[in-house]
Amino acid sequence: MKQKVNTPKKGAARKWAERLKNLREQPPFEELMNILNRMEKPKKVAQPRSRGDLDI
Amino acid sequence: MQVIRGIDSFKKILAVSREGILADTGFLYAAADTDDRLHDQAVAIYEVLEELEVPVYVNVISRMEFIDLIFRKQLTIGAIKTYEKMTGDQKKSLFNFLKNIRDENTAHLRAGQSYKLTEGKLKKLRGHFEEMGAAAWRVFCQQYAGEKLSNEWKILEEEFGMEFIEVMEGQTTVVMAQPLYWRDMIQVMGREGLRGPDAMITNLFLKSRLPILITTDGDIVKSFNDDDHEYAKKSVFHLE
Repeated sequence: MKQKVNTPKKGAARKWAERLKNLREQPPFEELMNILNRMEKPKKVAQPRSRGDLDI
Repeated sequence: MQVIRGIDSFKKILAVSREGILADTGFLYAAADTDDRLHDQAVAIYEVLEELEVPVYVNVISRMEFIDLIFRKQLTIGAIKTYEKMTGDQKKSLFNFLKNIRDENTAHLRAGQSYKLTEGKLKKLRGHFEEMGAAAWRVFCQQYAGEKLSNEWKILEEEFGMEFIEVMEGQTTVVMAQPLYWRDMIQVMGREGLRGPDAMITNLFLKSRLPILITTDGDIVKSFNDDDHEYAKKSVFHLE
């Protein structure tokens, strides 16, 4: 009996290229952005006023 | 050895023999990625194979190389999409790293090339995400690779009709005319100066019953000696 051999399905190549194309339309999950946004900018800490001009 | 130039000559050869073709990684990848400069050509060839129902044979190394390229491309796309969503308020080192990936991708596209993260960049990307917590890398991979990558692996057989050649040392299969030996492959490497995966393709093609090899690699094409009459009936379709 002849062994069954796979052959490409019609339209497979065109569909193939769509897969990466569709991925390019996907923004990152909110879950990922939440993790990345957790890193806050360093807070500006008020500097003590220069005391150099104070009379001792 | 005959070099096929153009779809028409390709069809003529297939009209005589539809036993199957041997595909290399470059050809498969070009068909899968619109960024690849050979994409249109590769799809046109694949459509002929679809139309004539010609089996596409691939060795296990090419299958692995192909899925690795897809994985690296998926994460490259993911890195760019993440960068596009960032505001600049996030960690500076990650922001700059992702921006650099986006810039490299743009430069490659201008040159007609598909950019994929290198192994070194992939490790750095992972490091940057992991600095934000273990979950960041997992969530990123889950979205841009994950199930999608598993599906890519599955559909290679189901939709793209590929047949994978796995042969043990010194054995043959239905498509192998002569047994495969590691020593022959190593000889091809040394003689032609080809890397292991390329030498494997060359050796496998020569020992197989398959009449056509489709490749994007000019070095593989050069490795076939015109004077070798033993392989006079074999042809190579070189996409360039």
